[in-house]
Amino acid sequence: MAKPFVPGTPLEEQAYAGKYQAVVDLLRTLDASGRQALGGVAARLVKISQAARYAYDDGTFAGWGRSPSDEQLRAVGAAAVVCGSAKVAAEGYFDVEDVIALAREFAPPSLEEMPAEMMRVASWRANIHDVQKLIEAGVVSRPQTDEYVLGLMLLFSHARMESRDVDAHFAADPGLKDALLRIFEVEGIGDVSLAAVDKYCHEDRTWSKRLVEFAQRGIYSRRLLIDRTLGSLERGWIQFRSGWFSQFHVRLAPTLEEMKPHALRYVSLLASRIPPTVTFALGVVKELEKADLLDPLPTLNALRPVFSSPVKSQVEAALKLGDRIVKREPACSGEAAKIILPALAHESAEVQKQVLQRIEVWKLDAAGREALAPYAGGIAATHRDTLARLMGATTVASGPAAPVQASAPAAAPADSLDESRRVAPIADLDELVERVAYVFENDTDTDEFERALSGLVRFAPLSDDARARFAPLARRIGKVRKPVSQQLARLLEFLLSGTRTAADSTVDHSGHKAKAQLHLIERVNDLMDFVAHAGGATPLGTPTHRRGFIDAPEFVRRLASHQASGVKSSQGDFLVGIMRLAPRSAAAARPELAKLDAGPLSQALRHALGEDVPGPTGDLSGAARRMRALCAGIRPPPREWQLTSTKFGNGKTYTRVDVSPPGEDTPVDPVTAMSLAVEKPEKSYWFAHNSVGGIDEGSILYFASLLPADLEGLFADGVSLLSRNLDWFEAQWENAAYLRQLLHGDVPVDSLAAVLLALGLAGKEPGQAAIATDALVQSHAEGRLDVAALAGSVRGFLRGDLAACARYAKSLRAALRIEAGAASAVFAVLCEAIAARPADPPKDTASLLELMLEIVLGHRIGLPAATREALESLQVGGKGKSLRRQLLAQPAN
Amino acid sequence: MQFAYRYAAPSSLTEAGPPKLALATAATDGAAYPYFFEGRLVRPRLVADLLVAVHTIVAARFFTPANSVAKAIALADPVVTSGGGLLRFEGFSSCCSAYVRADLLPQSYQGDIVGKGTTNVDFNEPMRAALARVRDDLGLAFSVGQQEFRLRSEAADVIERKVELPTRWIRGMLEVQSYQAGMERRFEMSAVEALRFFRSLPKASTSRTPLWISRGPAGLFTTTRPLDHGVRITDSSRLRVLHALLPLARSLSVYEDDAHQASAWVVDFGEARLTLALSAEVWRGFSGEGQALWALMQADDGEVGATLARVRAQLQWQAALDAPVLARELGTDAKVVEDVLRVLGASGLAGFDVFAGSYFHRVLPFDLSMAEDLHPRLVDARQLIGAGAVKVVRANPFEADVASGDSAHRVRDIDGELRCTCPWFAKHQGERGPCKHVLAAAVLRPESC
Repeated sequence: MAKPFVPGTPLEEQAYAGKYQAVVDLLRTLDASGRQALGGVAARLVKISQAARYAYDDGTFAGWGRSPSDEQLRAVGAAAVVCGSAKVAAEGYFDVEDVIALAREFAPPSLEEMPAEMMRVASWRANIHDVQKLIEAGVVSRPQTDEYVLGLMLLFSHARMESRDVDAHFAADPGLKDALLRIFEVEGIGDVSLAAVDKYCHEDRTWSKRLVEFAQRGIYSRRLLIDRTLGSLERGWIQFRSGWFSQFHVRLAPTLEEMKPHALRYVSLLASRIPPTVTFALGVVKELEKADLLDPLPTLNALRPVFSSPVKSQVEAALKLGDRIVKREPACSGEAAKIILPALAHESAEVQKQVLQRIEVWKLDAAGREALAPYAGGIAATHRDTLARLMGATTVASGPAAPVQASAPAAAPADSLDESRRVAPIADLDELVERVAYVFENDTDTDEFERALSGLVRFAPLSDDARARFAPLARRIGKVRKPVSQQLARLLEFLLSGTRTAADSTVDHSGHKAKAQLHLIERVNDLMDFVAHAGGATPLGTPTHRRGFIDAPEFVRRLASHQASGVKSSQGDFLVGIMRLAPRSAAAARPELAKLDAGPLSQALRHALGEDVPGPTGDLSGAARRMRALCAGIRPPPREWQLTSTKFGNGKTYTRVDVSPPGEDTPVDPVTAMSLAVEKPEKSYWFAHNSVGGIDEGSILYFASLLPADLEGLFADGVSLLSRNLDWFEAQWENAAYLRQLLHGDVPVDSLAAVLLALGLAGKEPGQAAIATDALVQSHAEGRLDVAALAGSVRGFLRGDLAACARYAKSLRAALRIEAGAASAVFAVLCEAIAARPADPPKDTASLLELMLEIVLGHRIGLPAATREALESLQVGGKGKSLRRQLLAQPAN
Repeated sequence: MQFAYRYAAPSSLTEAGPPKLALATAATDGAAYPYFFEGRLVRPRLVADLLVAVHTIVAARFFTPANSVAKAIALADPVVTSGGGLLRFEGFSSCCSAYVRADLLPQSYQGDIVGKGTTNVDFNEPMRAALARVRDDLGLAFSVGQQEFRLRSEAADVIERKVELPTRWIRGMLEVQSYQAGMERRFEMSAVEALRFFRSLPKASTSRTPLWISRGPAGLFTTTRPLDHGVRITDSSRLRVLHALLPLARSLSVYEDDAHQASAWVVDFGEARLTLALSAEVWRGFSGEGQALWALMQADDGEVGATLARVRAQLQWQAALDAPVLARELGTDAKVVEDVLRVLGASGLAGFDVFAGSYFHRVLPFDLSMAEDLHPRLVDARQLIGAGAVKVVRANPFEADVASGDSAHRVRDIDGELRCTCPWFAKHQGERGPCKHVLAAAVLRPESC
């Protein structure tokens, strides 16, 4: 609540009354120093009245008492311009015509800096016209700031000025012509730059069109514009902004005669850091070279940086330029051969081939041959012989000295119950306080969340000492915002004050609640009841191992302990626990079952662990049946998935993956029930999918910990979500959590996990693609990757136009860089991928063929008959055709 | 804090006749315009590229916080240091997540180092454009400061540029030295290998997924899996400035601290080097790190405090401050001198050359009297100690309660590391330096612990 503004001086009274003329009359009665002395009053008036304009939720209007009227703002503006500093005047002026009149009458000192401040404090778009009017009126001098130049960039693009043509501007402000040239010197920001203006305004108002017109009308000479354009390109601004200048140069279409004086500047631009500038310079240099306007050797030297460019077309253009120069000046050939060497580091085998061909013709001296050595490591397998020959090897190598073998996978996936994966219970109060504090701030560490949750229950009721120790955290409770951490905060608050705060799930973009969060809220409510009589007992759902797993014998002992000490176990907690059992520990737990009573929980557990007892009924039934099946090694049948394409009015077809719900023969346990309970999207947006975990990473990870032995439900969500956002049209960072599950050494990558991996490898977002690449390498090395399932998914996605070959080629190549042993898996994927659509292969199939050839040659893998058949029917042209021929020339498997 | 650069003339590259690059130096506190160097460059194109790299980082903003203007404002002009035959140009990005330094070694020039010292140097857009036209075959005369301005501290046509220099910028500039001092070399690779590796990096930002760089049989690669001996990096777009330099380089070395919080990339050209230090995340500049706090806390320590003034008296713009040599000269322990150098680094009185593995003398041309005040945690820790807020619960293993309002945080020694129960420590787990409670408690920890 702002303090009410009470006018205390005559100036304030007149301004608040909205009497512009009275304010001016009052100022007339003062001399210059008297007016300046009112600077503080003017600043205060501006501050409060401007705040009041935007105080939408403040009943006091920032103390002004009402939304300021135009009359009030005009009167305040007069005080600001005449008495205030330049900044106050710029913030407070109301009408530029008033400013002109006041400037002429009072010549306030603020005028000198006012235009610069006007461009600084408000949007350039709005204020540039007022600044121009002040300049045209001759009451201020032109600002020299970059902000003014940004305003000039918008001067002619504004719809408000359509009635006034450019000539009127030049006529009213003769200095504008020279000042305008500074648009070539200021890079611009965000949406204010020549590139941005031209991108978002009508063609008739674009700078490129206007400047060409100005040149035609003689306002600026073409020579001047060419010079300024080159100056801008030399500054190396970011690609988007630099690109405008190279495009403008093309539009200006200078003749050879016009370019000739700048020949060396064009050559210098070959070293630019900005790829479009290099492409542009290559084009011009080619023209200049054709016209014999360049010295051969310096030009060849200037091409040196281009041979290190990652842009294939630039390297190829530079090679062709090199050809012309050597043809014209054959004595340069030896030097040319050395200069083009860096292009051998290019990842494209085709570029490497072109370089090697030239080196063979142009010949390297001894030093040059020595300089070839560093490139040997990255040379494509197809060119190793040529490189070896050029290096002067006496015998031609038939391949790498020691090819890396595509290794067979390791013996078995990691054991979920390995001792290294054990989650130790919290030992003492000190650790509990520290861990709770940690989880408050780190919501995605599910293992620590579970430790802290269990620790709080075990240490309840809290002693006075514990309460004192938790006091700083108690103050933090209200600030914990992340859904998972919030539930720990709720439990702590309950333990400290007995207060059960209400809680609800967050909602996703379509308003749906996350079932995983609702489950956690319910669980914490349950634990609040449990602590009342728990007496330090461990909650049944507490994991003993990472990822949520519970060692079955330990679970049985917990339940027995509850029963022995008369603690009433919570059924909800029991259900969480039973779903987390590690199936492989079932056998070890059976001898312990004798310790249990004959109650329903004990019976359900006996059934779940495979004892020959009748299954429970009611809520316990689904969980017990599901775990019994898992303990017996029976997983539900794989869930079906299919591609669904939707064609839209814009002519584009969008494809996604839909996963069918679990089969009817699958027992509906509490976790599966969550998946089934998720509402279908109300509107049929092609990209909509409501998931159990929602849009919070912590909640997704919590969901993953609820049935760690079978993540099909989780992966179904992951597949649906990733397939709808493969091109990253929306930043959904939380979905990386699905892919990260594939990195765990005890998660089999088969069925839907393999489908998810196939999607991750084709993702546009580099972080997700990198996680997927790691998952491929790691799961293959650990023997948990179903290569056939992955390859089949990739083939399906390519056939259905969901994924792009180039992205697969990139991810698979990255996998080989990490671990050459993954070659067998990568090769298997490639074999399926090229067979996706032989008659109508997807775009960039050649990138897959190139990688395949690398593997075949580098790892001496023979082509399977089916792949040979697919290659023979593959309808590719150009580079792909040549690669296909080379592949078919390789020996069979 | 408002900071004004005052130059007698803008830096310029004159091309009429033999080309000459004249870098203008700033006068500080009414002193004369420093004059450091006059001569010729051996590889003009290389030096031009290095200066462009410094300019690029200084003008860069790799992270723009939400609701702030997306304008990349070059907050501070680069700093030049002349001493020990080296000319060093240092700069810092506006977001404080990238630090750059170009070192010109004596082999890189023919001429005279005519002065020693540190000051700001003017880098302007026209000069940046002219640098693009520098060619080796035309040669390049080079000066840092000018003889004619040497005796002039005031000029009618002085160029003055005022900037609002946030304290985070200065804090980051100090902090980055402490980080570098704790780094070790992880990889060294040829320029060709480096070029190939850089091309394999994603073009789009990976700021949400940290990548770990490691070396395998096929060369360097990146992975999302944390590796003990790998180098952690987020948003590899910050490395782009090095791409254009690699074709001219001999090798690239990568350094990192043990906690994988910052990395330094040093491109070696033989006669020159470029160091690029990157913070753990783009949104997390060096300014928020607390690596310098331990050193600054030590400044009060008896032995370190007493030696500090004596070491300062030895500073003469040396290119390398060798702790054992200084210790011998001062008749004190090398370990104490190392601690003193850390304090000097954190105070802006020394930079760290990670390639050489040593500090060098330079005095940042800013008001350093408030260097300690720039660290709120340090100030708070001192207040806690002053208020007697630290109560030792147990000496071994060390435990202390640090009063905070009406409650207390517990600081405990766990496996040699002091951990606190405060939210700040809970969030960062010591990765961003100690919290104020740990800093305060550490003072009362017995030496033997």
